[in-house]
Amino acid sequence: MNKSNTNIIFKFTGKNEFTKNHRLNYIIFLSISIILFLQGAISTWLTFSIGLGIWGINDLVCWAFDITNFVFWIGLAHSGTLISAILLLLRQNWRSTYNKPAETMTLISIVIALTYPIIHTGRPWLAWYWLFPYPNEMALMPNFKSALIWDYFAIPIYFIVSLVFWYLGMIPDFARKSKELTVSKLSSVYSKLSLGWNGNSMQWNIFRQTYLLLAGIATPLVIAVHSIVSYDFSVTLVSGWHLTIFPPYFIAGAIFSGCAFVQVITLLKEYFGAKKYRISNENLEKMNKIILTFSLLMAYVYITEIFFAFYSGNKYELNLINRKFYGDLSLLFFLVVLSNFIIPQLLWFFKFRNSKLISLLISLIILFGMWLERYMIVVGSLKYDNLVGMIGFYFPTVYELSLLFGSIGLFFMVYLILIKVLPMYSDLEIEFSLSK
Amino acid sequence: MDRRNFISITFGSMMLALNACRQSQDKIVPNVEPSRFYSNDDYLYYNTVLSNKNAAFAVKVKTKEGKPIKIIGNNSTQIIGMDAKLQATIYELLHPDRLRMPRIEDKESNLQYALQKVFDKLYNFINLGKNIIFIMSEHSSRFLNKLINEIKSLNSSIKFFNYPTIYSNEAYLNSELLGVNGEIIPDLSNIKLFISIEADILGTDKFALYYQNVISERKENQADIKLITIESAFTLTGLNSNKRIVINKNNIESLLSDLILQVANKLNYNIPVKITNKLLQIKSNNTFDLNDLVYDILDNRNQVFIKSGTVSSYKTTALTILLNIILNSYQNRMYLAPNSYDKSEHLLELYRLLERPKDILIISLDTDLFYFASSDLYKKLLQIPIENIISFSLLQDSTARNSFINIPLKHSLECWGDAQVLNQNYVIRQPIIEPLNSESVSIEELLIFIKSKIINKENTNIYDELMSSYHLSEEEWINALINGYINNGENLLFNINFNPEKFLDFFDNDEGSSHANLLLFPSLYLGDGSYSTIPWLNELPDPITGVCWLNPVNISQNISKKYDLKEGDVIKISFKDNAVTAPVIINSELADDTIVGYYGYGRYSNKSLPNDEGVNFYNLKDISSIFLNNLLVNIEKTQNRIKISKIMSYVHSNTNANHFICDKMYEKQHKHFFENKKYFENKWIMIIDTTKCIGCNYCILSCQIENNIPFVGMDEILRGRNLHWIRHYVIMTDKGYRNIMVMCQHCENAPCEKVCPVSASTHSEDGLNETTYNRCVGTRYCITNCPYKIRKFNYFNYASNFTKSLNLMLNPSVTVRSRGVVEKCSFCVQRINEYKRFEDASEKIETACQEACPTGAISFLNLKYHQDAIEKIIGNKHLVRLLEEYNTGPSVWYLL
Repeated sequence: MNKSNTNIIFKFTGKNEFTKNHRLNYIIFLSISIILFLQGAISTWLTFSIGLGIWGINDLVCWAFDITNFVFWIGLAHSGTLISAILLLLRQNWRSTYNKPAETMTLISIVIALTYPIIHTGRPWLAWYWLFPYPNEMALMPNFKSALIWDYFAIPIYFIVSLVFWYLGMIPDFARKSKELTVSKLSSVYSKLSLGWNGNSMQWNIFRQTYLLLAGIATPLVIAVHSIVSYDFSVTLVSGWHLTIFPPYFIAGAIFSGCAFVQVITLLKEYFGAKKYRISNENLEKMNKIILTFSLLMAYVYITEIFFAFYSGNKYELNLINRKFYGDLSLLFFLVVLSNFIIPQLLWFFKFRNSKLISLLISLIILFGMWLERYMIVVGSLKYDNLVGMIGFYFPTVYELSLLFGSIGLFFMVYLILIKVLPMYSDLEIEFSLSK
Repeated sequence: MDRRNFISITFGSMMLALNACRQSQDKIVPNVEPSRFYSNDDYLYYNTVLSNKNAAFAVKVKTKEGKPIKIIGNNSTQIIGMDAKLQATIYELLHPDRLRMPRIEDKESNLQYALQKVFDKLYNFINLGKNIIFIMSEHSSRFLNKLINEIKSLNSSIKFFNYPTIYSNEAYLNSELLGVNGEIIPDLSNIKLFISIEADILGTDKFALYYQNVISERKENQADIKLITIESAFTLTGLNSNKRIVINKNNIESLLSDLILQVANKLNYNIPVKITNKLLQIKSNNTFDLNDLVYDILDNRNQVFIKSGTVSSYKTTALTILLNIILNSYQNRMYLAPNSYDKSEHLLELYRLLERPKDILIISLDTDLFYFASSDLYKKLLQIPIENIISFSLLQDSTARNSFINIPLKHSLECWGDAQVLNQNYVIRQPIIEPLNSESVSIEELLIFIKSKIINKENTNIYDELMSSYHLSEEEWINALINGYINNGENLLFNINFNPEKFLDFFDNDEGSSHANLLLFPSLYLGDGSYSTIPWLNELPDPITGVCWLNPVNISQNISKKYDLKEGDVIKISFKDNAVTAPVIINSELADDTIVGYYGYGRYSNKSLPNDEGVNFYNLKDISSIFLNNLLVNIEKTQNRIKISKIMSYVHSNTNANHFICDKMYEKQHKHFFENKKYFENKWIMIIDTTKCIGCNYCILSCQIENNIPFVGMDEILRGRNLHWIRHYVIMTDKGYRNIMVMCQHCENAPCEKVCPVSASTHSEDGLNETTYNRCVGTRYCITNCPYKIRKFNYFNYASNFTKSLNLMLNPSVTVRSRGVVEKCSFCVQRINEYKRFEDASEKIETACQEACPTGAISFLNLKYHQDAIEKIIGNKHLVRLLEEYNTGPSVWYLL
């Protein structure tokens, strides 16, 4: 991409670890995703029509799976932009292995993440537009002090920027695809999507400048949006939420889980998608190194949290730490530390770093651990209130689990369709790099 | 007329009409000013009387547009606050399951015909010389007594029984030993030391409202009354007493004997030798050190009263009476609970009559006899041919189902009547609302009908009968209705003649072996079961265990260890031939080998009350134990488990309350509490005196009624949701237990206001923390950020629990919240607004919780105008605010 960079960013040396019948597996995987999505849609409809009472939330733990899933998905969304934008700015050319899946993931994840705050409100038919400051004769305005309003603005903006970034990056590929598929009906669609791209140097020049500019805009946005998501928690008085470390903590967590997820879906794409290119072990290793770094960062955050409690001497925070080690949260906390810190340490070993299967497994474990961590933050903190005797309980119902699996289904349904339809490797970029 | 003319006339008239319709050019002003004089949305208050069995209390009924919407205490009778049961009668009035039509053998009929049928039946029995038994619950009505006596005098085969669902041993022993027919209620205003022997005077007692009032009044006047409780159960009285002696039930008698001997010895009182020997014999088991107690008693000589409860055995009650005699306690002013005992209506007499089931006609008047019956009484009732059972009831209860003729009764808010309240005054019961169902009859009307039929006279009007029975002039009568009571000239005093001869009669029964002592109390909110049809009361949490909708038995810790029982395990409790199964909860405050059960559950199941899975303990008893509320039972673990529905209000005996009662440094700096510069008009604050609060939860119910808060049902409670705007819990301090009622704290610096994305939670100009229900979208962000977690969310459309008829009960000044909306205490903003519209805001107003508080623990004041009053209330008590370290600046202050 960059003229001065002559490194070969793609090699064809990756060992093919998947030898099964891909087409059948694709159909099975897609069908499962669609089924998951459909049952999630039914649960959503039931939640709308009957009420939030069908969930397990109660007087004390009034946020649970909904917000956990929201934070989880919005966290996943962030690493997509990170990989595309920040690595672009840092001139890490190996990103082109990951950037298209990651950007696609960002888009789908934001949409999923956005649905949760809407579903989780008591009156979603009003909530989706009452948060917007539209002029009205009652002179009613939303409360700009509320972190939820910041969310309401930050996330759509992030969505729009990501969408533009994603689309812009695909314009040359659309043009190429339309030329390749001269017979197909899709060709005209691709041609329209390519916005008259003919690949002359002026277009490339403008393209690169815009792309860089958008990357420049997107990068602070990653930081800002996820900080705002963390403000939902850190501006409150709830012990366990009321921490200044939350913005960097959430961003680290987001990138951590996001990288793991990108690893998962890239390997999946390789499995189901075009056979032309495969992830080189070099790139796999680079991504694994990032994951390892963020795993250590997460460990640092956990230690800081404990330090905060002891340093401040705040009895509520100390109580929470006590619960994490000895109390009701101990199992959760143990699983979180195990999957987010201890297991990723395997990536210190070259053998594991280079194995696609091990990378996939570790990434899946990290995703599980990161979901649990969000669950621990949301439910664990709300379960105990600061007044004596305010001890709550929470058990998810079928509908909440169904919504979680429904969101996973929705993601893979859209993703699996898109990898067949859209140019998922930036062929031009790769070829361009190779030709250098 | 030709066409042209027609058109010109038409158009001409149209032009004229248009001209005439022009608006006046002068400025006119519509009449939109609210007027105090001819608005029909004023609240009107009526004095009347409501009673739970024979415990009647004068009440005021608040009505709007003719509908009764709230029941509050009548201040002129020195009773403040209102019992939850009586408050909830408003629900009973509009109960969706109320009977609509009289029914004869499953066929609907009309009232006239059904009454005629009843009389025919009755007349037939009179002619045959068979017995006619009217069974009614205990009452305190003079008018009813008069009618009963008149009917009785007409024919000897007509018998009336005041069926005591919860039998008072004391009343029986008083008549045997003291020659006084009834339960003695001391006037606590002269008493310095009150010793309650298993008597739950502040909780489940019928006259609890009276005791609560008097004891708090004593605290108010700095003339504190010392309350000592000796019990094996853990009652609300024990919770609130100055000293609670926990002792096994079997040892209470020996403790009392020891106490009597020691006190008599100190006072040089001569107990008859026979009795002394017996006491010495019983005393030997006592291991409890009585020195303090004896000195307490001797210090307050002549100002002591000792009372035994419904669960006390004959021995304990007899010993209590003896101790009172020794201490001269009966010289103090006392009241007699009206109609609490009558030898001729003794239950054994009823059993005797039931020996010949074919020859009697049972007419049940508002008594669910089939529910209250003990196991062998139930069997006997089943032997009566169904044609001979007639029931008059409000709802379709089990007696109504088992009867041949079933006639709907009028609710006590719908008919004339009267009752004697505790201080022996009479109160007239006025019909606040026209009967909702014209095909219904009141008990008084029925008796008048029967009387006039028997003597073959014209049926007289109940109003005339009632009025003439009081011999008052027109003016006096109207005054009595306005004031709410009629001064009774009758002498309060009654003579006590102790009869030591009979004393030892109660000591010769010996006890069999058993696993545990089962103590049976009436339920705190459902009473003996007559209120169990009201879901509001079912949902009120027990102040000690927090349980609602169910009546699990409380078991002591040693029983739970012995049988390996955990909360929710179901045990089989067997007494002689009968057995019931009940879930358990463990109460560490109980004495060893003690099980505590509550009557009143398992009575009624219908579509409006689907969850009544409680245990009916009346089934456990038989004829030998009909008078007992303490049974020696055997227990056995079963394999079943039940989830116990609980609302958070536990006793935290092991928790350190320090972080609740905030740091010492805040206690001294009250000054910043009074900062109110921001407000130029009003700044409302609520002060809750925890030294007075007894945790009766009446305020929760009052709040529910005032603010149209629906009940949510047992399933929702099990999911951890409820809609009570006030939460109660008990903490342990170095001064003893303290009840803390937490409602919205109306913070100055409210965390909920900052996080609501749609500005539905805002601060009013009066410093109130307001919730705009219409604007709320239900993100529940405010709930998570509220440090007191007192905001409630409508997870379902709970308001649909107010079915059609119940809509009439709703307070028209308060919105009914829909699904998906957060709600919370509003400091009764509707009352504040009404007040601000018409009155001078510097005067005091009452919130709903304050209105119902029997101990006056809640005060609602305006910081701008009532500085002196606030200082006076605070006095030298510790003033704290909850979680002061958060700097939320709550407007609810607590005195510790």
